[in-house]
Amino acid sequence: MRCADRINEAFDAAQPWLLAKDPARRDALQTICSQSLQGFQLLTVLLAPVLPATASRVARDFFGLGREFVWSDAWKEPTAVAPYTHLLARVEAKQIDALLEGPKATSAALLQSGVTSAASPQSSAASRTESQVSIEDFAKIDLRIARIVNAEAVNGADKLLKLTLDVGEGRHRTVFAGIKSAYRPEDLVGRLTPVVANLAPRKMKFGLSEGMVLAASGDGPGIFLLAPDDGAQPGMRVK
Amino acid sequence: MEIPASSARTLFVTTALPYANGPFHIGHIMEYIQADIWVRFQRMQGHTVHFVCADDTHGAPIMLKAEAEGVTPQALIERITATRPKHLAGFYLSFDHWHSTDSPENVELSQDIYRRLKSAGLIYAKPIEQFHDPVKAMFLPDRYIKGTCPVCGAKDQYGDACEVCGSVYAPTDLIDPYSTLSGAKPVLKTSDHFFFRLSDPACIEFLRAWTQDGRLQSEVANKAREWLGEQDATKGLADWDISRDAPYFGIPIPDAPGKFFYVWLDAPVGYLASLKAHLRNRGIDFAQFLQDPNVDQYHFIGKDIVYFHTLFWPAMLKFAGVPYKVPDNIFVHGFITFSGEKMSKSRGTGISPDVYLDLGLNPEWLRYYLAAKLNGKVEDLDFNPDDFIARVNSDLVGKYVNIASRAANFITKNFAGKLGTPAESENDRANRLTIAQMEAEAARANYAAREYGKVLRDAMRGPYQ
Repeated sequence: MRCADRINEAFDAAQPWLLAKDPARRDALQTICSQSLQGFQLLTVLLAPVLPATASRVARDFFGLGREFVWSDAWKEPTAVAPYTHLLARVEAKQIDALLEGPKATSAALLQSGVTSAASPQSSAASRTESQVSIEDFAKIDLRIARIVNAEAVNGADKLLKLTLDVGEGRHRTVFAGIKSAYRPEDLVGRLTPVVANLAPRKMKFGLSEGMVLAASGDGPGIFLLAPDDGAQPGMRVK
Repeated sequence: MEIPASSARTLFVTTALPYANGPFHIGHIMEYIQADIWVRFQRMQGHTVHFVCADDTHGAPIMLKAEAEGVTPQALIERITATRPKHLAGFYLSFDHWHSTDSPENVELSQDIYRRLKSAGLIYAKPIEQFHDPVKAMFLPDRYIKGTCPVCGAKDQYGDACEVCGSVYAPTDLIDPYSTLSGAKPVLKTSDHFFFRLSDPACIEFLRAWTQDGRLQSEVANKAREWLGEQDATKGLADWDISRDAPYFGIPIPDAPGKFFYVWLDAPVGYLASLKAHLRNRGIDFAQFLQDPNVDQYHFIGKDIVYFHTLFWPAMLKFAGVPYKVPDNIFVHGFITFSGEKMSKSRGTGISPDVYLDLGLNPEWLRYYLAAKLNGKVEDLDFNPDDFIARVNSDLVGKYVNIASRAANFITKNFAGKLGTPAESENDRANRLTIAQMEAEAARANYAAREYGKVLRDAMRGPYQ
């Protein structure tokens, strides 16, 4: 396989999602996926001088080699693979905006301040690094993809919208979110967004809120609801 | 130059020494990333690499800045050096050792090289008239005299080299000079200076051969040929003034009280000082290491310091003799520009490596983006924000990471993580792996030639686009 494009094309052409439904074509499914993962190993070896941290995680955690890649791994076949975990995030335009604005603007780029909570956004890079959490701490937070099945204004509340969420659990939840200034309710219906699913339910003046949606905000105006890439489904774990 | 994969070599690799009067800027980080990628690639080929650098600490700017702040130069340097680890670790730069030119090793090596050049008859003293600032009561360092370049006529050029045409000259050659410390018109005073006889026929002969034997990048070799006066016999190398008078923050010249080495003499020796300290930590003998024919010496530098690295430095090492070793090559890169403009702190353009890390941006994004735009030529590289986002998101995440997540999910769900290709013939499988090996071979040649952009284009987009 010459390159990432061709590996992806071959994968798509084999239509593994159809193969997966036909027990008679198990061998074909395993073959195309294994070929693609050999291609991924080849690419990772070629990129290793540029992406040393990612290559190390791929060698040790993903393919379980127990060592770093060596050059000849480019044409070797991996024998097993661990469940996929996050490797590299996308860069957001806002992050680059903050980078270009320089030190004074660093606070504006910090994402994921929970807008439904009363806490003010963390506003400096320094305070962010000081309050580090362990991976175990983070794992306690059950983040799930939710579909917004309904959104409506709340009588008597200037800032809140009442969201009805499908988190893939066979029932709907109600969550109040302080995003009224940024979104019209009708624009939200049907959207996917991550939600903190195990947040202790909170009794509010307007009813019970069973979770928290995530949005970004900075010192300036604007609230930006997070959205997963295409393909995410309600109930999927975010980690 | 390609290093054959079959024979494991030992490489001594450096990046240019950053001046210790301020934290790293994006230009430093770009050079370190360029060198680090090459070093990591060579290590993956099975070669042993000693990758070192150091803070460049001597000279008038640090002396004067420390004086202005009311601290010792050492205290100033220490403060700047303390900022280095954050960036070196933050951008995954795999230096084996980081040293300082204000170190015992550098004093010893600079003085040793000087003594050897002196016994080779290449050092002489002569009285020169030098600019003296009547207001500050000191001889003026080159960088504190400005005037019009005597070669190309560009205005406001420093006293040692012209940033427009690249010529190197003496401050007294400047037209309409002025002191940047006091603004006063400097007056000429006489003092004995030491010179390196670069005009010696043996030096010229050596440099003509070394710079023109095909090792250097063609742009660099052409520039060196101009400086060496190959085409015009009336132009040629001038002898190099290597001493400065007290007060000066630098290394004392042996047997010459009140005289110090010009910072550009001891700065490149800092490569060797760092190597020596590093080898001592590893229990390796410095002199034996340099004499080993299996060792190659490479310096990554920017295009602004080509003169020092292709003329002065190889000549110093050549005529200092054993155990010193002439560099095997100098790898020169261009500048980084920002959306087509020169990066400038004062105009607020460009990006700060410090802010990049503080924002928590992934260092591999920057490494990937710069690699995609780097090649083996002396070309400027433009940082374009939209292009940065597009390459990271569409190539790196969209194409590369995507393969792993999509294919692994099926394997995890249906085959308990076990890989295999039961539906592929043994012949097809062998062919597929042979093609993978050919890909790796092509990438190997491109990495060796510092054609990182080609490696990534082939890996991501293939040859047909």
